[in-house]
This record gives sequence, structure tokens and C-alpha cells, in this order.
Amino acid sequence: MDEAALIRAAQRGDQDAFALLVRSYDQNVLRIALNLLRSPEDAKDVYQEAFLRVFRNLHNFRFDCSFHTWLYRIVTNICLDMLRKRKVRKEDSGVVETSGGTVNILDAAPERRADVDPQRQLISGQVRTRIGEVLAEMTPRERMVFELRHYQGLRLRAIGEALGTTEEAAKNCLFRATQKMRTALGDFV
Amino acid sequence: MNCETIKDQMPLFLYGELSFDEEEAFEQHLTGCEECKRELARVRHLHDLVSEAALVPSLPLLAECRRELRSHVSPEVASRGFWSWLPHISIHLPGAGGGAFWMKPVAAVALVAVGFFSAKAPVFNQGAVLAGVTSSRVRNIEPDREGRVQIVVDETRQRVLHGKLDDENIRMLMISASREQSDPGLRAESVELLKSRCGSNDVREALLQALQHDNNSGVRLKALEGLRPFASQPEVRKALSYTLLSDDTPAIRTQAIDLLTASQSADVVGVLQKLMEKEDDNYIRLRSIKALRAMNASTGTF
Repeated sequence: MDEAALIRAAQRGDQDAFALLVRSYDQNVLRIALNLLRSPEDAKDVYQEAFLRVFRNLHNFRFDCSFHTWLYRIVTNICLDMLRKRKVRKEDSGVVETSGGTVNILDAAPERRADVDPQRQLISGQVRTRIGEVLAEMTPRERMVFELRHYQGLRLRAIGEALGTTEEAAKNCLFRATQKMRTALGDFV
Repeated sequence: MNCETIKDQMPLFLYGELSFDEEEAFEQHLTGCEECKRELARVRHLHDLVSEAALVPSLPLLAECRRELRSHVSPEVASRGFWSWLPHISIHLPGAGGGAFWMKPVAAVALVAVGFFSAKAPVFNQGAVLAGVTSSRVRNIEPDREGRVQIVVDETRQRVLHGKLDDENIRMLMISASREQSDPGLRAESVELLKSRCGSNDVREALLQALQHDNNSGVRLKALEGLRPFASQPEVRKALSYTLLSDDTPAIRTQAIDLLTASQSADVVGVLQKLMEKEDDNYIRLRSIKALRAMNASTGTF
């Protein structure tokens, strides 16, 4: 069943179709939320809110845009709201409370390449911490555009569509975000 | 164009977000400016460092999200008589409890695969033998001389298998799941997991099939990501060419052309010229024109 058929089936009340639709996208949604908000708890809230909105409004989806764009619009709106609400909170620095105590989730992020060389691992940890700090310093929109372009691989046109703005505005946001990143990480390269 | 402008444009260049003209001017400047070349290498390194810092949601977090979503939606389902959230396919996350449909794992490390095995099970006069059978269908009934009845029942049994993707049997089941026509979600997750094992011929073959023939764009995109490191291999290039000409999703065609034109290779000239006859996406057209020009080939009619 292709995606359009899946959506139509879900709109008719097909339980499996809706579940499949969620499952096709939920890993990406969670990844966006986690990277943007740098807090597993907030990422969970975004996940719930986004798919509940999809569930409640799917009957209004008219295929005017792709389901992907529609969903990203919902997710990015929720994330932007959360970022604006908690502009200066300690989660922004990557520090979160867990049942096991306070941890820096950036330090807990999977190490992809530096697992052999201890020196590089150390630098890599410092870089991750710094990246978390820079992301916290960005405006919500800059952070959103940076996340969608760098980590999600969306093209600026698609980002503009998802955020309800122009490609040019998204490009300006990306430019400012990368400038901030470049300035902050200059010592590491 | 001066060095300052070029430096400003470097991140956009790395994201492939410069216009055709901007990219031309950018590359032209770079050929004659050692300082900008060094700066670009530095920015590229920075780009890679940032990529390495991506956070990946853990399996338990995803499982928890799915479980909570189910608990939030269930009351609405009950009140609306909407979907039941009952699984028709079960893949169990160890220790994750119920809600099997939503508990599918996302990483190979703790992979659990489910096999569906059908078997014909002749049953002789054993009273409640059918109790506990998940799904069954009577195939044949035959009375014997002593007044008993022999019934042949097809049973569909679920089995939970644990293993890593390095295990060939697990991999075969995953490949089989990646072709499960009725379930795009299952295909997407299978391909996502198989992506990391593309060095294996059977996995690569499965991903090539998915890229060219899966009707779900999400699955095709994941297959393409998995094949990315093998973009120089002839069979992968062939599949990328097919995708470039036939896929209806611009994002997939964009990635296909990026991979195909990353290195100058004459084998794509014909494909790109054919593409120019029908492509309406601006970015893809520009990449195509640029690649054709770099190979001194005609860009055809456009």
C-alpha cells in the first residue's frame, strides 16, 4: 500500500493504517525533537503532541501538500513553541535530570568515530558540549532551520514550506546559524 | 567575487544550497585561491564535527513514546469506536511489556525478529489441542473406521527470534521483511536496520530492489541512504540512474543525482541527457547541466 492509500485508509478509520503511518515517521519525529530540544522528556512531549494532533486532524488532510510536509509543519510548530517558552532553561545546555541523576545528554550521545583514540574522544566530547551551547544561543528559528538542514537533510525549499516562510528566509536563518557555529567551534578546527 | 563572499558562502556550498551561478563562481574562485581552499577544508571539517554530534533517540525512549501515545489515544479510540491498537504483527522488545505493535526496535544491537511460520499440523483426537493456537484454518476433514475424525489444520504461529544482524538467518528474515508488501512500516524499519550491513551482497541486492521498486518513498529513501557508500559500484549506479529517471519524489531524485554526479563518469551522460528532456525540478536540472558541461557533453534541449 503506498502512502496516499495508507492515509486514505487511516482517514476512513483503518486502525492498522494509522499505526503504520505513525511508525513510518515516528523515529524521525523523535530525532528532530531530541536534537532540537536536547531533552528526552521534551522530545517525548513533542512526539505525543504531534501524533495526537495528526490523529485528531487527519480527516482534514486534503493532500494539498505531502503528508511529510504537513507532519513536519506540526512538529516544527510544537518545537518552536517549546523553544520559545523555555528560552533560557538549563536543558538548553544539554544537562537533564534523569532517574540516575544529572547527566549531560550530549556526553551520552553515541560516539561514532572517536571510540578508539582517547585524545580524539576527549576533543569530540568537548566539541559536543560546545555545540550544545551554541545551539542554546541560537534563536528558535535559527536552531530549527539548522536542525532540519544539517541533521534531517531537508532542502531549504522544503524547510521554508514546513515553517510557512520563504526559501530565502530559511537561507538567511541557516547562514546566521552556521556563522554562530563557525565562530564558536573555530578553536577545534 | 572576493574571498570574504566566498567564505560566507562556504556552508551553503557544503549544503548544496548555492544557485547554479553562485556555485560556478564559487568553484572558479577556489581554483585560483589557496587560502580559500584551506578555509573550505576547515569548514568542511567543522561540518563533519557537527554531524558527529547528532543525537539518536534510544530504543527505550522510542518504546516509551509509542506506549504513551497508545495510552493517550486509547480513550479517544474507545469513544470514537476507532482503531483498536491491537497488533496484527507482533515484534517484541525485550522487557518492554505490552503494546507489541508499537514496540518495534530500531537498532540492530538488540534486534528481535519475528518469523511467521506456517505448518500443516495433523491432529488426532486430542481434545483441546486447538486451545492456544493463534490462528488456524481447517484444511481437510476425514473420518476413520473407529468413528473418530482426522482434521488437517493450517496454523500460523508466531515465533520470537533474537539475534544480531551479523547472523545470516536473522539477516535473511530481515531481507524477507523488507519485501513484505502489505506493511510499509515493516519494510521501512527493515531497510533502516539493513542499511548498516550493505557490505553484504544479499543486503545490497535487497536495498537495490527497494530503491527501484518499493512503492513507499520513505523506504526508497532509506535504501538510497544505505547504498550511498557504494555509489561508485556499477550495479548501484545503474539503480541510481533508473531512480533518477523514474522516481516521482524530487528529494530522492535529488540525492540520486548528487551521488551520480559526485564524480565525473561518462556512464551517466546518456542518463542526464534523457533526464533533461523531462525533469522539471530546478535543482536537479542545474546539477545535470553542470555535470554534463564538466564532461563536455551536450545538455540537450532545455
